Amino acid sequence: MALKETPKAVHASQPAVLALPVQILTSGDISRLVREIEEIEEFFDKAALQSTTTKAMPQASQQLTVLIGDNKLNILHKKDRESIDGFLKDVRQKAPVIHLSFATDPKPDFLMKLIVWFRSNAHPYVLIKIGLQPNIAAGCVLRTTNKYFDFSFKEHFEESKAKLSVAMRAST
Amino acid sequence: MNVWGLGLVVGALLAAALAFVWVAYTLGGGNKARGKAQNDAFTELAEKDVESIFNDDFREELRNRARLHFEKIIGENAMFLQQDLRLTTSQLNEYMKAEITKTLQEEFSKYEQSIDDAKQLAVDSLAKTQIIIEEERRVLNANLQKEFEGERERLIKKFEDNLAEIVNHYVLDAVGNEIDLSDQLEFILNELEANKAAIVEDIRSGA
Repeated sequence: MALKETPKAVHASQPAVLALPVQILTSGDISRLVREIEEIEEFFDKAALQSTTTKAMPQASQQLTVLIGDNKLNILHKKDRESIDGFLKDVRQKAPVIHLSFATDPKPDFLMKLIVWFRSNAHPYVLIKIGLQPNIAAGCVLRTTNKYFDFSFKEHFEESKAKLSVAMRAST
Repeated sequence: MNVWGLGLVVGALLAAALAFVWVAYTLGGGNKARGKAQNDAFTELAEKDVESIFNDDFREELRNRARLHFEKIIGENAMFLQQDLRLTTSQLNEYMKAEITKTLQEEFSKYEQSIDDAKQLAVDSLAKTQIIIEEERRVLNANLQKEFEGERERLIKKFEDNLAEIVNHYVLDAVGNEIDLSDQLEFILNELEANKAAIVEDIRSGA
């Protein structure tokens, strides 16, 4: 799943023009992809120095495959590899990171649906950091650069407390 | 009968009377002298007879008789005395009984009266105590009710203050392991939409 259109310049500090697939969620994913690209680049560099090689090219991960496929790039082309590397490093450095805490460990497809919202509405290269807060029971807690949003059931109960108090007093 | 006859009769009678008186006086004077002489003789004889009549045996007999008579009198007197004593004792006993009974009755009635007074005092005291206790109970009840109300309000307020936490814990304990994140997606997305402007503004300003 990826964004339908390649994002245009949303903000002056936008790192690159490649589309970031929804499968790439976290800074960790970006770092892993950077290392992967570096390994592939190294392979090609070695292969260039040794005219023949019996080693096989490192298998690209699913995330890298999706990144290459969505952006219609070719991993065999150095320029494309450099674009990907530069893009990933820029994203790692400049992309906004939001913190999402859940009561239980979320599944990847759930996170992908959330990241679609963030990248559609806020910034195309939003990365998320997952945390666990079992005491929130349900919902999530969102922390952006300067703000804190409590979307947990506990906060929802707090806001609806007055209704329950009225009902309790009516019954006693 | 005329006056002369009557006078004659009266005179006759007076003369007879005077004659009679003279005879009587004359006879008496003569007897007196003879009597006196006779008495003297009799006296002398009597004195001689006394000695023969009142001899030792007679005297002893008289003494015995006197003694018996005396003993009889003493016995009778003793009997009378005994009877009197018995009577007196009986009367004294009766009197003592009556007096003691009367005194005891008076004392018992006083005792009974004092017991009744004490009982009445106790009853009055109990009644007063009961009134006081009832008043205290009423005040205590009011205070307790007030305390209970205060405590109830405090507990309700504490519960209300921590309501969200309590419900959260309840939900967590009851269905915490059964709530799937996928079921929460719509809720989370709705919350994101509701706070979209603030979220987007903060993310873009930090980018």
